[in-house]
Amino acid sequence: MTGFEPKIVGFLCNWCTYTGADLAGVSRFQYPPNFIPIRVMCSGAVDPMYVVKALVEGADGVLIGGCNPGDCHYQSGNYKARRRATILKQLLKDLGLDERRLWVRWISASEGKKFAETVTEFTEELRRLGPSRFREEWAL
Amino acid sequence: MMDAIHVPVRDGDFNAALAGALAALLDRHVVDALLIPQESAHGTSINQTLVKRASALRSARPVSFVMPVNSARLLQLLSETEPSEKIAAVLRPCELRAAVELVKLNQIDRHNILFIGQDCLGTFRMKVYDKKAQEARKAGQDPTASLATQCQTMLRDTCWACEHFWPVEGTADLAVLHLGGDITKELYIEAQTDLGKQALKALGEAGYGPGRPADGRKAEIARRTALNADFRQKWLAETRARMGTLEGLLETISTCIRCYNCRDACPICYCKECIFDAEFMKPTPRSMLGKAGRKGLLRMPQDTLLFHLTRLNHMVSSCVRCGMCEEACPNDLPVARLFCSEAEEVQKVFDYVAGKDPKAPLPLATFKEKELEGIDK
Repeated sequence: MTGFEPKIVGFLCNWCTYTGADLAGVSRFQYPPNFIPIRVMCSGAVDPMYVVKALVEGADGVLIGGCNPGDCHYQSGNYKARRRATILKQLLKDLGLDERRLWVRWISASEGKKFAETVTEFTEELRRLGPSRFREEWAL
Repeated sequence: MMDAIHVPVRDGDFNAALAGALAALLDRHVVDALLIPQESAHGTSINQTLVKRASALRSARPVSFVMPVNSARLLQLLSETEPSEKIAAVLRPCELRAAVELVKLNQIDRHNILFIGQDCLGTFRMKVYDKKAQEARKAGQDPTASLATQCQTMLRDTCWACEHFWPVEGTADLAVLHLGGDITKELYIEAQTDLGKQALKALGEAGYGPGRPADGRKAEIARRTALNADFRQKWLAETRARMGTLEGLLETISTCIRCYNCRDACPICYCKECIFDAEFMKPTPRSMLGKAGRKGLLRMPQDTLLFHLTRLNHMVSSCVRCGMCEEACPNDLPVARLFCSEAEEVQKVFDYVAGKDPKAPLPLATFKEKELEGIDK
Protein backbone atom coordinates (compact mmCIF):
# COMPACT_ATOMS: atom_id res chain seq x y z
CA MET A 1 0.00 0.00 0.00
CA THR A 2 1.44 3.32 -1.02
CA GLY A 3 1.53 6.17 1.43
CA PHE A 4 0.85 3.90 4.39
CA GLU A 5 2.33 5.26 7.58
CA PRO A 6 2.04 2.96 10.58
CA LYS A 7 0.85 4.32 13.90
CA ILE A 8 2.65 2.98 16.97
CA VAL A 9 1.43 3.45 20.51
CA GLY A 10 4.19 3.11 23.10
CA PHE A 11 3.77 2.51 26.82
CA LEU A 12 7.09 3.66 28.25
CA CYS A 13 8.23 3.30 31.82
CA ASN A 14 9.09 6.57 33.54
CA TRP A 15 12.48 5.47 34.82
CA CYS A 16 14.10 3.85 31.82
CA THR A 17 12.51 3.78 28.39
CA TYR A 18 10.80 7.17 28.65
CA THR A 19 14.03 8.75 29.82
CA GLY A 20 15.80 6.85 27.04
CA ALA A 21 13.33 8.38 24.56
CA ASP A 22 14.12 11.77 26.04
CA LEU A 23 17.83 11.14 25.61
CA ALA A 24 17.22 10.15 21.98
CA GLY A 25 15.64 13.55 21.45
CA VAL A 26 18.29 15.52 23.32
CA SER A 27 21.00 13.62 21.44
CA ARG A 28 19.23 14.38 18.15
CA PHE A 29 19.01 10.76 17.06
CA GLN A 30 16.67 10.53 14.09
CA TYR A 31 13.72 8.16 14.20
CA PRO A 32 10.42 8.04 12.30
CA PRO A 33 7.62 10.27 13.60
CA ASN A 34 5.16 7.35 13.76
CA PHE A 35 5.46 6.87 17.48
CA ILE A 36 2.96 8.07 20.10
CA PRO A 37 4.54 7.75 23.54
CA ILE A 38 2.49 7.28 26.71
CA ARG A 39 4.44 7.69 29.92
CA VAL A 40 3.60 5.19 32.66
CA MET A 41 5.27 4.75 36.03
CA CYS A 42 6.29 1.14 35.33
CA SER A 43 5.96 -1.38 32.51
CA GLY A 44 4.40 -3.62 35.16
CA ALA A 45 1.58 -1.10 35.52
CA VAL A 46 0.41 -1.50 31.94
CA ASP A 47 -2.90 -3.34 32.11
CA PRO A 48 -3.25 -5.52 28.99
CA MET A 49 -6.63 -3.83 28.53
CA TYR A 50 -4.89 -0.66 27.35
CA VAL A 51 -2.77 -2.58 24.87
CA VAL A 52 -5.81 -4.39 23.49
CA LYS A 53 -7.70 -1.10 23.33
CA ALA A 54 -4.92 0.52 21.33
CA LEU A 55 -4.84 -2.45 18.93
CA VAL A 56 -8.58 -2.78 18.37
CA GLU A 57 -8.95 0.97 17.93
CA GLY A 58 -6.55 0.73 15.01
CA ALA A 59 -2.98 1.20 16.23
CA ASP A 60 -0.73 -0.71 13.82
CA GLY A 61 1.68 -1.60 16.59
CA VAL A 62 2.11 -1.33 20.34
CA LEU A 63 5.44 -1.12 22.14
CA ILE A 64 5.81 -1.82 25.84
CA GLY A 65 9.13 -0.37 27.00
CA GLY A 66 10.63 -1.04 30.42
CA CYS A 67 13.89 -1.19 32.35
CA ASN A 68 16.36 -3.96 31.58
CA PRO A 69 15.76 -7.18 33.57
CA GLY A 70 17.18 -6.64 37.04
CA ASP A 71 17.04 -2.84 36.77
CA CYS A 72 13.37 -2.18 37.59
CA HIS A 73 12.90 0.87 39.79
CA TYR A 74 10.28 -1.14 41.67
CA GLN A 75 12.38 -4.33 41.80
CA SER A 76 10.21 -6.66 39.73
CA GLY A 77 7.67 -4.68 37.68
CA ASN A 78 9.30 -5.49 34.36
CA TYR A 79 9.42 -9.23 35.15
CA LYS A 80 5.68 -9.09 35.76
CA ALA A 81 5.17 -7.07 32.60
CA ARG A 82 7.02 -9.82 30.77
CA ARG A 83 4.61 -12.44 32.09
CA ARG A 84 1.54 -10.33 31.26
CA ALA A 85 2.85 -9.66 27.77
CA THR A 86 3.47 -13.38 27.31
CA ILE A 87 -0.18 -14.12 28.06
CA LEU A 88 -1.33 -11.31 25.80
CA LYS A 89 0.89 -12.45 22.92
CA GLN A 90 -0.34 -16.02 23.33
CA LEU A 91 -3.96 -14.84 23.13
CA LEU A 92 -3.29 -12.60 20.13
CA LYS A 93 -1.59 -15.50 18.37
CA ASP A 94 -4.29 -18.08 19.15
CA LEU A 95 -7.17 -15.82 18.17
CA GLY A 96 -5.79 -14.58 14.89
CA LEU A 97 -4.98 -11.05 16.06
CA ASP A 98 -1.35 -10.96 14.88
CA GLU A 99 1.02 -10.97 17.84
CA ARG A 100 3.77 -9.45 15.67
CA ARG A 101 2.18 -6.07 16.30
CA LEU A 102 3.11 -6.15 19.96
CA TRP A 103 6.72 -5.56 20.93
CA VAL A 104 8.25 -5.70 24.37
CA ARG A 105 11.67 -4.06 24.70
CA TRP A 106 13.94 -3.20 27.59
CA ILE A 107 15.64 0.14 26.98
CA SER A 108 17.53 1.92 29.75
CA ALA A 109 17.72 5.67 30.39
CA SER A 110 21.19 5.74 28.81
CA GLU A 111 20.16 3.88 25.65
CA GLY A 112 18.83 6.77 23.58
CA LYS A 113 20.36 5.24 20.49
CA LYS A 114 18.71 1.88 21.14
CA PHE A 115 15.37 3.64 21.54
CA ALA A 116 15.71 5.39 18.19
CA GLU A 117 16.79 2.15 16.54
CA THR A 118 13.91 0.19 18.08
CA VAL A 119 11.30 2.66 16.83
CA THR A 120 12.92 2.66 13.39
CA GLU A 121 12.97 -1.14 13.25
CA PHE A 122 9.38 -1.47 14.47
CA THR A 123 8.16 1.11 11.96
CA GLU A 124 9.89 -0.76 9.14
CA GLU A 125 8.44 -4.07 10.31
CA LEU A 126 4.94 -2.57 10.42
CA ARG A 127 5.39 -1.10 6.94
CA ARG A 128 6.11 -4.65 5.78
CA LEU A 129 3.05 -6.03 7.63
CA GLY A 130 0.78 -3.34 6.24
CA PRO A 131 -2.04 -1.55 8.03
CA SER A 132 -3.81 -3.22 10.93
CA ARG A 133 -7.09 -4.84 9.98
CA PHE A 134 -8.69 -3.04 12.89
CA ARG A 135 -8.40 0.22 10.99
CA GLU A 136 -11.34 -0.94 8.88
CA GLU A 137 -12.97 -3.59 11.06
CA TRP A 138 -16.14 -2.21 12.60
CA ALA A 139 -17.83 -5.29 14.12
CA LEU A 140 -15.99 -5.05 17.39
CA MET B 1 -6.10 -40.71 64.25
CA MET B 2 -8.13 -41.87 61.28
CA ASP B 3 -7.42 -40.66 57.76
CA ALA B 4 -10.76 -41.74 56.35
CA ILE B 5 -14.15 -42.85 57.59
CA HIS B 6 -16.75 -45.11 56.11
CA VAL B 7 -20.30 -43.79 55.63
CA PRO B 8 -22.80 -46.61 55.12
CA VAL B 9 -25.72 -45.83 52.77
CA ARG B 10 -29.16 -47.19 53.61
CA ASP B 11 -31.77 -47.88 50.88
CA GLY B 12 -29.56 -46.32 48.24
CA ASP B 13 -30.14 -42.85 49.72
CA PHE B 14 -26.57 -41.57 49.58
CA ASN B 15 -27.63 -37.95 50.04
CA ALA B 16 -29.37 -38.73 53.33
CA ALA B 17 -26.33 -40.72 54.47
CA LEU B 18 -23.92 -37.93 53.61
CA ALA B 19 -26.20 -35.24 55.06
CA GLY B 20 -26.29 -37.31 58.25
CA ALA B 21 -22.51 -37.29 58.51
CA LEU B 22 -22.35 -33.57 57.78
CA ALA B 23 -25.07 -32.90 60.35
CA ALA B 24 -22.72 -34.48 62.89
CA LEU B 25 -20.26 -31.66 62.15
CA LEU B 26 -22.95 -29.19 63.22
CA ASP B 27 -24.11 -31.24 66.21
CA ARG B 28 -20.58 -31.65 67.52
CA HIS B 29 -19.79 -27.98 66.98
CA VAL B 30 -16.93 -28.64 64.60
CA VAL B 31 -18.55 -25.89 62.52
CA ASP B 32 -21.36 -23.42 63.15
CA ALA B 33 -22.86 -23.55 59.68
CA LEU B 34 -22.90 -25.66 56.52
CA LEU B 35 -22.96 -24.43 52.93
CA ILE B 36 -24.72 -27.31 51.26
CA PRO B 37 -26.95 -27.82 48.19
CA GLN B 38 -30.63 -28.55 48.85
CA GLU B 39 -33.51 -29.34 46.56
CA SER B 40 -36.14 -26.67 45.99
CA ALA B 41 -39.69 -27.37 47.19
CA HIS B 42 -40.91 -28.59 43.79
CA GLY B 43 -37.67 -30.29 42.87
CA THR B 44 -37.04 -28.00 39.90
CA SER B 45 -33.57 -27.10 41.01
CA ILE B 46 -30.95 -27.60 43.64
CA ASN B 47 -29.36 -24.56 45.22
CA GLN B 48 -26.70 -23.90 47.80
CA THR B 49 -28.09 -23.18 51.25
CA LEU B 50 -26.50 -21.87 54.39
CA VAL B 51 -27.64 -24.16 57.17
CA LYS B 52 -27.28 -23.55 60.90
CA ARG B 53 -29.69 -26.16 62.27
CA ALA B 54 -29.10 -29.82 61.55
CA SER B 55 -32.87 -30.33 61.41
CA ALA B 56 -32.96 -28.01 58.38
CA LEU B 57 -31.04 -30.54 56.27
CA ARG B 58 -34.15 -32.46 55.19
CA SER B 59 -33.80 -31.90 51.46
CA ALA B 60 -29.98 -31.77 51.39
CA ARG B 61 -28.43 -32.90 48.09
CA PRO B 62 -24.66 -32.70 48.68
CA VAL B 63 -24.31 -35.03 45.68
CA SER B 64 -26.29 -33.54 42.81
CA PHE B 65 -26.33 -33.02 39.06
CA VAL B 66 -26.92 -29.34 38.66
CA MET B 67 -24.78 -26.32 39.50
CA PRO B 68 -26.56 -22.96 39.43
CA VAL B 69 -23.54 -20.93 40.60
CA ASN B 70 -19.92 -21.59 41.34
CA SER B 71 -20.00 -21.71 45.15
CA ALA B 72 -16.52 -20.21 45.41
CA ARG B 73 -18.29 -16.92 44.73
CA LEU B 74 -20.48 -17.53 47.78
CA LEU B 75 -17.45 -18.33 49.92
CA GLN B 76 -15.98 -15.00 48.93
CA LEU B 77 -19.02 -13.42 50.60
CA LEU B 78 -18.83 -15.68 53.63
CA SER B 79 -15.15 -15.60 54.48
CA GLU B 80 -13.87 -13.52 57.36
CA THR B 81 -10.41 -12.54 58.50
CA GLU B 82 -11.45 -12.51 62.13
CA PRO B 83 -13.91 -15.34 62.19
CA SER B 84 -16.97 -15.15 64.36
CA GLU B 85 -18.33 -18.48 63.14
CA LYS B 86 -16.97 -21.47 61.26
CA ILE B 87 -18.49 -22.69 58.03
CA ALA B 88 -18.04 -26.01 56.24
CA ALA B 89 -18.70 -25.74 52.51
CA VAL B 90 -19.63 -28.65 50.24
CA LEU B 91 -17.88 -28.02 46.94
CA ARG B 92 -17.62 -29.69 43.57
CA PRO B 93 -14.10 -30.11 42.20
CA CYS B 94 -14.39 -27.01 39.98
CA GLU B 95 -15.81 -25.01 42.89
CA LEU B 96 -12.98 -26.24 45.07
CA ARG B 97 -10.41 -25.26 42.45
CA ALA B 98 -11.98 -21.81 42.18
CA ALA B 99 -11.91 -21.51 45.97
CA VAL B 100 -8.21 -22.46 45.99
CA GLU B 101 -7.53 -19.74 43.42
CA LEU B 102 -9.55 -17.18 45.38
CA VAL B 103 -7.56 -17.99 48.51
CA LYS B 104 -4.39 -17.21 46.55
CA LEU B 105 -6.00 -14.03 45.25
CA ASN B 106 -6.74 -13.00 48.87
CA GLN B 107 -10.47 -13.16 48.27
CA ILE B 108 -11.24 -16.07 50.58
CA ASP B 109 -9.78 -16.29 54.03
CA ARG B 110 -9.41 -19.92 55.10
CA HIS B 111 -9.67 -18.97 58.78
CA ASN B 112 -13.36 -19.68 59.10
CA ILE B 113 -13.98 -22.06 56.22
CA LEU B 114 -13.62 -25.82 56.00
CA PHE B 115 -13.49 -27.06 52.41
CA ILE B 116 -15.41 -30.29 51.81
CA GLY B 117 -14.53 -31.50 48.33
CA GLN B 118 -16.22 -34.35 46.55
CA ASP B 119 -15.99 -36.67 43.59
CA CYS B 120 -18.16 -35.34 40.78
CA LEU B 121 -20.19 -37.25 38.23
CA GLY B 122 -20.89 -34.13 36.18
CA THR B 123 -23.73 -31.64 35.91
CA PHE B 124 -26.52 -30.80 33.48
CA ARG B 125 -27.51 -27.41 32.23
CA MET B 126 -30.25 -25.98 34.45
CA LYS B 127 -32.99 -26.41 31.84
CA VAL B 128 -31.94 -29.96 31.02
CA TYR B 129 -31.86 -30.81 34.71
CA ASP B 130 -35.36 -29.45 35.25
CA LYS B 131 -36.65 -31.72 32.47
CA LYS B 132 -34.80 -34.78 33.77
CA ALA B 133 -35.99 -34.09 37.30
CA GLN B 134 -39.61 -33.88 36.16
CA GLU B 135 -39.32 -37.14 34.22
CA ALA B 136 -37.87 -38.91 37.25
CA ARG B 137 -40.60 -37.54 39.51
CA LYS B 138 -43.30 -38.76 37.13
CA ALA B 139 -41.76 -42.21 37.37
CA GLY B 140 -41.92 -41.91 41.15
CA GLN B 141 -38.14 -41.65 41.65
CA ASP B 142 -35.85 -39.18 43.36
CA PRO B 143 -34.13 -37.33 40.48
CA THR B 144 -30.67 -37.28 42.05
CA ALA B 145 -30.75 -40.95 42.99
CA SER B 146 -31.98 -42.04 39.57
CA LEU B 147 -29.43 -39.85 37.75
CA ALA B 148 -26.54 -41.23 39.80
CA THR B 149 -27.01 -44.70 38.39
CA GLN B 150 -27.70 -43.72 34.77
CA CYS B 151 -25.22 -43.41 31.98
CA GLN B 152 -25.13 -39.66 31.38
CA THR B 153 -25.14 -38.26 27.88
CA MET B 154 -26.38 -34.70 28.20
CA LEU B 155 -23.89 -33.36 30.72
CA ARG B 156 -22.51 -29.88 30.18
CA ASP B 157 -19.58 -29.80 27.73
CA THR B 158 -17.26 -28.48 30.41
CA CYS B 159 -18.11 -31.51 32.55
CA TRP B 160 -17.23 -33.88 29.71
CA ALA B 161 -14.02 -31.94 29.18
CA CYS B 162 -13.18 -31.97 32.91
CA GLU B 163 -9.65 -32.99 33.79
CA HIS B 164 -9.87 -33.13 37.59
CA PHE B 165 -13.29 -34.45 38.57
CA TRP B 166 -12.22 -35.41 42.08
CA PRO B 167 -10.83 -33.32 44.97
CA VAL B 168 -7.13 -33.27 44.13
CA GLU B 169 -4.86 -34.23 47.04
CA GLY B 170 -4.24 -31.36 49.45
CA THR B 171 -6.90 -28.98 48.10
CA ALA B 172 -9.80 -29.92 50.41
CA ASP B 173 -9.91 -30.37 54.18
CA LEU B 174 -12.37 -33.24 53.84
CA ALA B 175 -12.98 -35.19 50.64
CA VAL B 176 -16.14 -37.20 49.95
CA LEU B 177 -15.10 -40.12 47.74
CA HIS B 178 -17.21 -42.61 45.85
CA LEU B 179 -15.65 -43.08 42.40
CA GLY B 180 -14.93 -46.72 41.68
CA GLY B 181 -17.27 -47.88 44.42
CA ASP B 182 -21.03 -48.22 44.69
CA ILE B 183 -22.46 -44.88 45.78
CA THR B 184 -25.79 -46.52 46.60
CA LYS B 185 -24.09 -48.67 49.23
CA GLU B 186 -21.27 -46.65 50.75
CA LEU B 187 -19.21 -43.45 50.75
CA TYR B 188 -15.88 -42.46 52.24
CA ILE B 189 -14.78 -39.23 53.78
CA GLU B 190 -11.06 -38.65 53.73
CA ALA B 191 -9.05 -35.97 55.55
CA GLN B 192 -6.59 -34.10 53.34
CA THR B 193 -5.35 -31.57 55.90
CA ASP B 194 -4.84 -31.33 59.66
CA LEU B 195 -8.02 -29.31 59.92
CA GLY B 196 -9.77 -32.15 58.14
CA LYS B 197 -8.30 -34.70 60.53
CA GLN B 198 -9.77 -32.83 63.47
CA ALA B 199 -13.18 -32.81 61.83
CA LEU B 200 -12.84 -36.50 61.04
CA LYS B 201 -12.07 -37.21 64.69
CA ALA B 202 -15.41 -35.68 65.64
CA LEU B 203 -17.12 -37.91 63.07
CA GLY B 204 -15.31 -40.90 64.58
CA GLU B 205 -16.71 -39.91 67.96
CA ALA B 206 -20.13 -39.72 66.36
CA GLY B 207 -19.84 -43.41 65.56
CA TYR B 208 -18.41 -43.54 62.04
CA GLY B 209 -15.83 -46.28 61.67
CA PRO B 210 -12.58 -46.15 59.71
CA GLY B 211 -12.63 -46.88 56.01
CA ARG B 212 -10.64 -46.54 52.86
CA PRO B 213 -11.59 -45.58 49.33
CA ALA B 214 -12.86 -48.31 47.01
CA ASP B 215 -10.32 -50.62 45.37
CA GLY B 216 -11.62 -49.70 41.94
CA ARG B 217 -11.09 -45.97 42.50
CA LYS B 218 -7.80 -45.59 40.64
CA ALA B 219 -9.04 -47.59 37.68
CA GLU B 220 -12.29 -45.60 37.50
CA ILE B 221 -10.43 -42.29 37.61
CA ALA B 222 -8.10 -43.52 34.86
CA ARG B 223 -11.05 -44.69 32.77
CA ARG B 224 -12.92 -41.39 33.02
CA THR B 225 -9.73 -39.39 32.57
CA ALA B 226 -9.15 -41.12 29.22
CA LEU B 227 -12.78 -40.68 28.21
CA ASN B 228 -12.80 -36.98 29.08
CA ALA B 229 -9.41 -36.37 27.47
CA ASP B 230 -10.80 -37.82 24.26
CA PHE B 231 -13.79 -35.48 24.34
CA ARG B 232 -11.71 -32.49 25.42
CA GLN B 233 -9.26 -32.88 22.55
CA LYS B 234 -12.02 -32.91 19.95
CA TRP B 235 -13.92 -30.11 21.67
CA LEU B 236 -10.88 -27.85 21.90
CA ALA B 237 -9.69 -28.67 18.37
CA GLU B 238 -13.13 -27.66 17.10
CA THR B 239 -12.95 -24.48 19.17
CA ARG B 240 -9.54 -23.55 17.85
CA ALA B 241 -10.60 -24.18 14.27
CA ARG B 242 -13.60 -21.93 14.82
CA MET B 243 -12.00 -19.12 16.79
CA GLY B 244 -8.44 -19.25 15.55
CA THR B 245 -8.94 -16.45 13.06
CA LEU B 246 -10.15 -12.90 13.56
CA GLU B 247 -13.18 -13.55 11.31
CA GLY B 248 -14.06 -16.66 13.31
CA LEU B 249 -13.61 -14.91 16.62
CA LEU B 250 -15.72 -11.91 15.62
CA GLU B 251 -18.42 -14.20 14.26
CA THR B 252 -18.40 -16.16 17.50
CA ILE B 253 -18.91 -13.09 19.65
CA SER B 254 -21.23 -11.35 17.20
CA THR B 255 -24.30 -12.06 19.34
CA CYS B 256 -22.75 -10.58 22.49
CA ILE B 257 -24.94 -7.90 24.03
CA ARG B 258 -22.38 -6.96 26.71
CA CYS B 259 -24.70 -7.88 29.55
CA TYR B 260 -21.65 -8.87 31.64
CA ASN B 261 -23.39 -12.06 32.84
CA CYS B 262 -20.28 -14.09 32.01
CA ARG B 263 -18.18 -11.79 34.13
CA ASP B 264 -20.64 -11.84 37.01
CA ALA B 265 -20.91 -15.64 36.96
CA CYS B 266 -17.13 -16.14 36.80
CA PRO B 267 -15.65 -17.09 40.17
CA ILE B 268 -12.27 -15.66 39.19
CA CYS B 269 -13.57 -12.26 38.03
CA TYR B 270 -13.63 -10.99 41.58
CA CYS B 271 -12.80 -7.27 41.25
CA LYS B 272 -15.12 -5.15 43.37
CA GLU B 273 -14.84 -2.45 40.76
CA CYS B 274 -14.49 -3.79 37.26
CA ILE B 275 -12.61 -1.62 34.80
CA PHE B 276 -15.60 -1.93 32.46
CA ASP B 277 -17.82 -0.23 35.03
CA ALA B 278 -15.38 2.64 35.41
CA GLU B 279 -16.57 6.08 34.40
CA PHE B 280 -13.69 6.64 31.98
CA MET B 281 -14.63 3.50 30.04
CA LYS B 282 -18.18 4.67 29.36
CA PRO B 283 -18.58 5.68 25.73
CA THR B 284 -19.67 9.24 25.04
CA PRO B 285 -21.68 10.37 22.02
CA ARG B 286 -18.58 12.14 20.78
CA SER B 287 -16.30 9.12 21.10
CA MET B 288 -18.81 6.85 19.36
CA LEU B 289 -19.52 9.28 16.53
CA GLY B 290 -15.79 9.85 16.17
CA LYS B 291 -15.14 6.14 15.79
CA ALA B 292 -18.05 5.70 13.40
CA GLY B 293 -16.62 8.59 11.43
CA ARG B 294 -13.19 6.98 11.16
CA LYS B 295 -14.46 3.57 10.06
CA GLY B 296 -17.66 4.59 8.33
CA LEU B 297 -19.75 2.60 10.81
CA LEU B 298 -19.60 1.18 14.32
CA ARG B 299 -21.19 -1.88 15.85
CA MET B 300 -23.38 -1.10 18.86
CA PRO B 301 -23.01 -1.88 21.69
CA GLN B 302 -19.34 -1.46 20.96
CA ASP B 303 -16.17 -2.94 22.44
CA THR B 304 -17.37 -6.54 22.71
CA LEU B 305 -13.99 -7.80 21.49
CA LEU B 306 -12.19 -5.51 23.93
CA PHE B 307 -14.38 -6.82 26.75
CA HIS B 308 -13.80 -10.52 26.08
CA LEU B 309 -10.09 -10.09 25.38
CA THR B 310 -9.63 -8.07 28.56
CA ARG B 311 -11.45 -10.66 30.61
CA LEU B 312 -9.27 -13.35 29.06
CA ASN B 313 -6.13 -11.40 29.91
CA HIS B 314 -7.23 -10.79 33.47
CA MET B 315 -8.37 -14.24 34.49
CA VAL B 316 -7.24 -16.87 32.01
CA SER B 317 -4.23 -17.88 34.13
CA SER B 318 -6.60 -18.76 36.99
CA CYS B 319 -9.53 -20.13 34.93
CA VAL B 320 -10.75 -23.36 36.54
CA ARG B 321 -12.91 -24.37 33.55
CA CYS B 322 -16.20 -24.53 35.48
CA GLY B 323 -18.11 -23.22 32.46
CA MET B 324 -20.37 -20.92 34.49
CA CYS B 325 -19.71 -18.10 31.98
CA GLU B 326 -21.41 -20.05 29.23
CA GLU B 327 -24.32 -21.06 31.47
CA ALA B 328 -24.92 -17.40 32.27
CA CYS B 329 -24.89 -16.22 28.65
CA PRO B 330 -28.41 -15.34 27.42
CA ASN B 331 -27.31 -15.80 23.82
CA ASP B 332 -25.39 -19.05 24.23
CA LEU B 333 -22.03 -17.60 23.20
CA PRO B 334 -19.49 -20.43 23.47
CA VAL B 335 -17.45 -18.46 25.99
CA ALA B 336 -16.56 -21.52 28.08
CA ARG B 337 -14.98 -23.09 25.01
CA LEU B 338 -12.98 -19.97 24.38
CA PHE B 339 -11.83 -19.72 27.98
CA CYS B 340 -11.11 -23.43 28.43
CA SER B 341 -9.10 -23.48 25.25
CA GLU B 342 -7.04 -20.41 26.14
CA ALA B 343 -6.70 -21.44 29.80
CA GLU B 344 -5.07 -24.64 28.61
CA GLU B 345 -2.65 -22.79 26.32
CA VAL B 346 -1.73 -20.06 28.78
CA GLN B 347 -1.45 -22.19 31.92
CA LYS B 348 0.78 -24.60 30.00
CA VAL B 349 3.27 -21.79 29.39
CA PHE B 350 3.65 -21.27 33.13
CA ASP B 351 3.44 -24.97 34.01
CA TYR B 352 0.43 -24.15 36.16
CA VAL B 353 -2.99 -25.73 36.61
CA ALA B 354 -5.46 -23.41 38.29
CA GLY B 355 -6.71 -24.73 41.61
CA LYS B 356 -4.65 -27.90 41.60
CA ASP B 357 -1.92 -26.96 44.04
CA PRO B 358 -2.60 -24.50 46.89
CA LYS B 359 1.15 -23.93 47.27
CA ALA B 360 1.93 -23.08 43.65
CA PRO B 361 2.12 -19.28 43.28
CA LEU B 362 -0.21 -17.51 40.84
CA PRO B 363 1.51 -17.09 37.45
CA LEU B 364 1.04 -13.33 37.59
CA ALA B 365 2.27 -12.97 41.16
CA THR B 366 5.64 -14.58 40.60
CA PHE B 367 8.47 -14.67 38.06
CA LYS B 368 11.86 -16.12 37.35
CA GLU B 369 14.77 -13.95 36.36
CA LYS B 370 15.52 -16.12 33.37
CA GLU B 371 12.41 -17.24 31.52
CA LEU B 372 10.16 -16.62 28.54
CA GLU B 373 13.08 -15.93 26.28
CA GLY B 374 12.30 -14.42 22.94
CA ILE B 375 9.32 -12.39 24.11
CA ASP B 376 11.46 -9.24 24.24
CA LYS B 377 13.28 -9.77 20.96
